[in-house]
Amino acid sequence: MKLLEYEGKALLAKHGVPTPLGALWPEIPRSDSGWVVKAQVLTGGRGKKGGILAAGDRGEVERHASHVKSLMLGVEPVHAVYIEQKLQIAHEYYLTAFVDRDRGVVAMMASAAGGVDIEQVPKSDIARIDIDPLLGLMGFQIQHLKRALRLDGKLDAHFGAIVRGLYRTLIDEDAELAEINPLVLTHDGQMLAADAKIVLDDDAVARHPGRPGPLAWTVDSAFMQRCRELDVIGVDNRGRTPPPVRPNVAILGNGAGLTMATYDQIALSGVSVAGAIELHGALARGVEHTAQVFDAFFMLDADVFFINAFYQLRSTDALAQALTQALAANPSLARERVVVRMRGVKQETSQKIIEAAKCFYSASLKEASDRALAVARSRAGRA
Amino acid sequence: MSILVNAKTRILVQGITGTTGRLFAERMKAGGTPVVGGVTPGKGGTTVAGLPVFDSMREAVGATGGDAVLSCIAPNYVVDGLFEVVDAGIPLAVLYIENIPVHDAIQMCAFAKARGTRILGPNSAGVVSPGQANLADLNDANLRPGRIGIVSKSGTLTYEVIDEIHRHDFGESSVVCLGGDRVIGTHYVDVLRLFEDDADTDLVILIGEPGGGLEYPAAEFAATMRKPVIAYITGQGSPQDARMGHAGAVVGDDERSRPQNKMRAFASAGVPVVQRVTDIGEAVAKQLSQGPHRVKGTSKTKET
Repeated sequence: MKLLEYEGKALLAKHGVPTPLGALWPEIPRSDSGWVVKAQVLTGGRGKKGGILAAGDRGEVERHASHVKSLMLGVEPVHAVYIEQKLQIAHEYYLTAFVDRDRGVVAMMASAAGGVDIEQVPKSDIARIDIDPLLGLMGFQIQHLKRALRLDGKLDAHFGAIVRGLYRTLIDEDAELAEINPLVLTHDGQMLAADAKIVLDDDAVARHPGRPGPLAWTVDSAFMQRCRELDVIGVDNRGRTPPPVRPNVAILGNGAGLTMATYDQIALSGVSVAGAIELHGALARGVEHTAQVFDAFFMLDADVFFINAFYQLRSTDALAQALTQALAANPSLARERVVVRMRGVKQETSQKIIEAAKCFYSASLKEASDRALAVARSRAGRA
Repeated sequence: MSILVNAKTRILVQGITGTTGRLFAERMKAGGTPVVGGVTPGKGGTTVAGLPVFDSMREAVGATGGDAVLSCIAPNYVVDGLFEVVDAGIPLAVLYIENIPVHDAIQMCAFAKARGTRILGPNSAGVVSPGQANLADLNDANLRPGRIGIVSKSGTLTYEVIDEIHRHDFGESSVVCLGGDRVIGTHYVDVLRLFEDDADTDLVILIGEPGGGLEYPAAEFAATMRKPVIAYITGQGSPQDARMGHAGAVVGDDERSRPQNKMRAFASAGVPVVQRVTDIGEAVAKQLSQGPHRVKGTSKTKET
């Protein structure tokens, strides 16, 4: 879950990282050095797209703010406009804390070359520390980052507090990324986070009950909303570039790996995928619940609905029953458009149920995917 | 010998009196898996499926000599429970649970590593050596002892791979599921090392997926192996920003985590890469027809 700049800065400030005085428009913070008007979007590079404007007086702030609010940055609307005191910048640094998943540690990086895309900075100009999860951030590591920035000795305590604050933000707020770019040094010797990019861990939401939901919820289709309600994983490709073309197949699988592999079977054969559902344990909630998941599945605008379920210990007849229930509620759906591969306990019973409902059944993934592809292609020929 | 678990492993079920724990214990017992007991604080002295229940891990280890744990406890207690397993000096733990906050996973993996416990997971479907020990959610009826090693992050996709090699009359020496979370305790390369030294394994199938970069060190190591490896990386066709059930399987804007780049890494290490899961059986047959100990095609690793 990505946060907008002002949401991220609120978390940084909570952990003692100084941030410029700012407010959400229409409020305007006090300033005797002018203002910066900033579009609140998740898309990167908003400055280059006209999403950040300087203003000398309150009238200009108002004009810029109403203009910025009306912008679309790429495909994203501007969620809010944040007005900040303009800083007198002496130098821009880079400082980040993040989860390095492959190494299984929290790492921090710092560079004297801040304010630019960090990908453009040579690796030799970036200092990195890996923090031992059992020890936490150590003093000598802060020193290492500080040396890389060639900071004035007077800033030691100030910089140390910022590094610790950023680290605490990552840990205490359950974030995967907490990046400050740029970390600004002002002419009067203050260091402040002039931007904030924070990504929170979706799996730790329950640990932060009082936290307000982020403003920039992605606008989702009715299908995606229904999937969320039913606690299954949905993928809707209609909003993507390029959008799915006809003929296409919708996929329902159990488990991430199997669903992705089923996706490969279709997509690598040159047929579009309209969308997908990963059951994510829905069958354990019973036939009624699973039938509702199938109802959601049939909301996808697809030529063929390909179901691929492989269970080890669970009986599949409940899944077959759920499917026939949903089919009965969708009488206009031609049965030849539904292709089923099901493996698991009592799969023979499931086969009978599915064949009685006039749908194609196979125990083999190869056979079933070939069938799904063939039906899709034949329907394209008919159109 | 197989790897990680065998007929001599002494398995403990953590949370054995809960619904999941009881189910696993009963099934293991019925399937001939060497399960020796379980732990639930406050339920010490009772039995489940004829197995003794203990109040603590240390107590259970003392009484049974348990050396592998399947953790089946409620999400809120999982982290503490894992620390207890590690503290009791148990060398192997399977964490079936998913959606563990990433900072908890980091702590768990670090503590386990420091104390010498190997964790499979979080979000692992477990490990099984067919005919010997089944510490996984796999049905014994769907397994067949054989000489193919399988290492994967996924559970359900692993079912498919097992099914696929059975269609070609092969069986498994051991099947290891690493787990689909972002930070996991055991990496592909760790398992490849074990398979390379296992006298009962002739070939290894490695199943990768989008997200992270654990496949790269595995490709590098595979290039140095005497045994053949076949790689399939799933998620080639799926949208790269979608979280399709595995917290870890999201590409985002990291080039390294793309399936296509992982496939290239294996190919340039001289490892055959298949496009679809249904191509695996044939690829295995082809590799093994060239003899169990392959001579790598790349000049860098060619043996003379």
